[in-house]
Parts: sequence; structure tokens; C-alpha cells
Amino acid sequence: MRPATSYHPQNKNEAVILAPVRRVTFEERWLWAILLGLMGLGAYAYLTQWNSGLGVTGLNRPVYWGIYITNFVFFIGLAHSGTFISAILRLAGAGWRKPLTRAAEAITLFSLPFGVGSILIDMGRPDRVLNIMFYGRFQSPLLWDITAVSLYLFSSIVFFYLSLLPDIALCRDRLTEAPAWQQKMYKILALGWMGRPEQFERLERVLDGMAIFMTLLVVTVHTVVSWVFGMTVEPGWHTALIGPFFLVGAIFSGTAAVVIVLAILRRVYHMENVLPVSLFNSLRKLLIVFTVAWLYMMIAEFLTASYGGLADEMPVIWQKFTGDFAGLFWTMALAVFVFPILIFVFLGKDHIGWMVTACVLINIGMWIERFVVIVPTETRPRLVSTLMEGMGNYTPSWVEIAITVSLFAGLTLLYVVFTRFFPIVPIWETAEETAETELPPVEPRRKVFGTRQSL
Amino acid sequence: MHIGELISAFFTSDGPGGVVVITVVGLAAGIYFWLIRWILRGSEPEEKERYRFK
Repeated sequence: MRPATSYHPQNKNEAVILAPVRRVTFEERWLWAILLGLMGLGAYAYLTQWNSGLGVTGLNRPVYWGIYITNFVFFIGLAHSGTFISAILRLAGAGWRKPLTRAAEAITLFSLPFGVGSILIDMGRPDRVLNIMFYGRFQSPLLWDITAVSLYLFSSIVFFYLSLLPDIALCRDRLTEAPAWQQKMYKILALGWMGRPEQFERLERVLDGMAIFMTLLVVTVHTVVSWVFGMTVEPGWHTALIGPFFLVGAIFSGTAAVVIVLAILRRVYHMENVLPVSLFNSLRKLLIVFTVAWLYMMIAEFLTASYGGLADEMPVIWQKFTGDFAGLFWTMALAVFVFPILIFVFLGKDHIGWMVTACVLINIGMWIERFVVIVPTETRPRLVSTLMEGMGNYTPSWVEIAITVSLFAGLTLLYVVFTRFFPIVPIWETAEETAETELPPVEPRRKVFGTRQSL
Repeated sequence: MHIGELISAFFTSDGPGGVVVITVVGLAAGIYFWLIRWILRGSEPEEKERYRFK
């Protein structure tokens, strides 16, 4: 009789998927070094800010939120990709999502800490974040924000970890040539997973249940993030539409980020069979819907605000259309809507290069969009009469730019390091054979603890 | 006390807001811990022992 062992569904692409985990190339080490260097630059910039205060940034009165808060909204938005791909498409029964779920979930997991970190960076006294825990008022949108984002981060970790569990066990059993510490890490993280049909069944049930909860969280989190702006009475922010507007933008940029990541993984790790072109075509259709939905939101937002010609609203709108922020605003419109929709409709089908081009444009444009939502309102606030000479301008300093670059480098580094240690494509979910089709025989109980020599 | 006043008092009184954060995240932690244990219990007892640490 064959000895009892952990069961892993057969996947013909297992070797290809595990290849990045088995060896690190010279180029990858260089990439790690460059990213670490950029993070070091950001750390130096932050130390400068820590020592000298927020005066070294371009932030001023009344522009208290600059590109740090732009980064916060952008990273939280990016984080919705994983939940959208994994949870919402899981509920919709879209089978094509399976190869890309983990790549998308990893974006969620690694973006969120940088989103949360952006708030701390924006604070002149980051230690005072604890004040919201000790003295925070229940009616404060900041408190709702911290609650929602904390729950989302925690739930995302659990959702990600659960779907990774069978593959960690597979690494534990297959990567016997890995260093001892790495094997021990797999062994600890696998939690004794054996791959029994009942475990798989329970795992699927929990993931299905969590998918519903995560979908609710996606809506809640980004709506609450938008309410940090919307609950003020500032022009451009105080609108009921800001919640859905932020939400559509978040899922839009997140899905575009998934396309970029998948294309890089496909090319670098030769995963042409695992991540076929048809996958990108499916994402293309989704992105066309999101592009149009985003345009609808933009038109609804600006038409409603400008139709009444309110005295407070109009200066902000004209700032965007023809004023100081017109260049950024129209660049954003081109990058987020005009070019992507043309590419998706006429060039994107069966062409990954064009898809990546469109998705890079979308993410650049969506970052600018966050900036254009936040800063023009601050430079022309409701109480504009309180502005004194020289107020109402904002130009980011080198400190803010360096920290922003380091945040993106940090996100990339986490992603690359994760890809080095764990399969970035779910092996068990993309397997041709499920746990029900073949059960491993179990040998009688023996007293063999903490060893797998007999397996 | 009128129910409306009670709800109003909840939202208009001072913090600590940390109670909300800790309650929500703590509750989730408990549920997730229980779910993970429930998933892992799906294996045979003797198999679990084979992967137990010394």
C-alpha cells in the first residue's frame, strides 16, 4: 500500500508555475537591489520630514492633503482589484478568473499597507494616530475609515491565506531542495494541510462565504474612504455621488493593474500556457464596461455640480476645466478614457502589448484623477475669503516625490519577493483533476511525528 | 429613554472610538480563527499527527 501523504490535485503546469520559486535569477537580484535603493531614498526623505516637520513638503494652509492623500486613495483603490477578481467573479461563477486570482489578491494585500501608511506619512505627528483609538468620536468619518480599512486588510489577509493554503502544502511537499528555513516556513504556514476531499470542500465553502462578505467590504471601504471627503461641506467633495464615483474608479484602476501584472508574469516566467491570451480578452471586456461606467460618473458629477452654477462650486470646476489644473485634468481624461477605449475596442483584442499600454495609461490617469479631485478643492475652499496673499497654491516637494516613488518601489518589492517564495498562479484551483477524482490511500496509524521521511 | 435619543447619544457622545475598531476587528478575528480550525479538521486524526511539530 502506498504510504499516506498529503494530496495535491494534478496540474500539468505545476513545473512552470513553481519555476520562479525554485530559482532566483541574476536579474531578479538586481531588481531587488534597485527597489531597496529606492525605498532607502524614501526612508531618507521621510527622516528629513520627521526631523524638520511638514514644512519640507509642499503642503501648506489650506492645502493640507497633497500627494500623500492622493497615494492613500490610489493604493486603496488598487487594493480592490484582488477582491473584485477573486470574490465578485467567484460569486458570478466566472471560471476564467482562476489563473489570475492570486496575482490579483496579492495586489490587494500589498497595496493596503502602503495606503494606510500614506496617512501616517501625511501626519506631522504620526504618534497621534493613537488619539483616534483613545479619543475618537463615533461620528467621525476618520474613525469609520480606520475601522473599515482595518477590517478589510485583516479579511484580505485571511482570504488570501486560505486560498494559498493548499499550495503552501504543495511547496512543503515538493520543494525538498529548498533551504531548511524555507521548508520549515512552508511547514508552519501549511498548518498540517493534507488535501483531503473534506478539507477542500470546507475550504471552498468558506471561500464562497467570504467572497460575499469581501464584496460587501469592497463597497463599504471605498465608500467610507470617499466620505472622508464627502462629509465635509467643501465644493467638489460634498456630493452623494462621490461614493460610487470612487468605487468605480477603484475597481477600474485595480483591474487595469491586474492586466499589467499578469502580462509581466507571463513574459518573465514564460507562463504563456498558464495565462493565455483569452484571459486578457475577458479582462478587456470588463475594462470596456468600467471605462464607460467611469465616463458616466464623470459626466453625472460635473453636469450636476455645474448646472446650478453655485458660487462655491464653479471656481473649483473652472480650475479643472481651464485653470491651473486644466493640463492635469485633460491629460487624465485622455489617459483614463479616450485612449484606453480606442485601444480596447480597435487594438486590444488578442494583443497583450496594447492592453498593457492602455492599462498603464489608465493607472497613470487614475492617479492624476485622485490628485485632481483632492487638490483643486483645497486651493479654492468654500471659505475662499479666508485665503491670504500667496495661499491656495500647491507644488509637491522632492520629499513628497521621493516618498511616493519609494511607496511604489515597496509595493513592487513585496510583490517580487512573494513571487519568489510562493506560486503566483493557484496550482490547486487551476488543476485539471480535483480532490474528488482520486483519493490517496491511507496507511494505518503509525507513531511518526514531525517527520516526512517515510512519505 | 426614547430609542431615537439612545441612537443619537451613541453618535454624539465622545469616544473612545477605539472600542469600535477593536470590537469589529476582534470579532472578525474570532470568526476567522474558528473557520480555519473548522477547515483543517477535515483531515483524518492520524494524518494531522504526522505533520504536527515536536
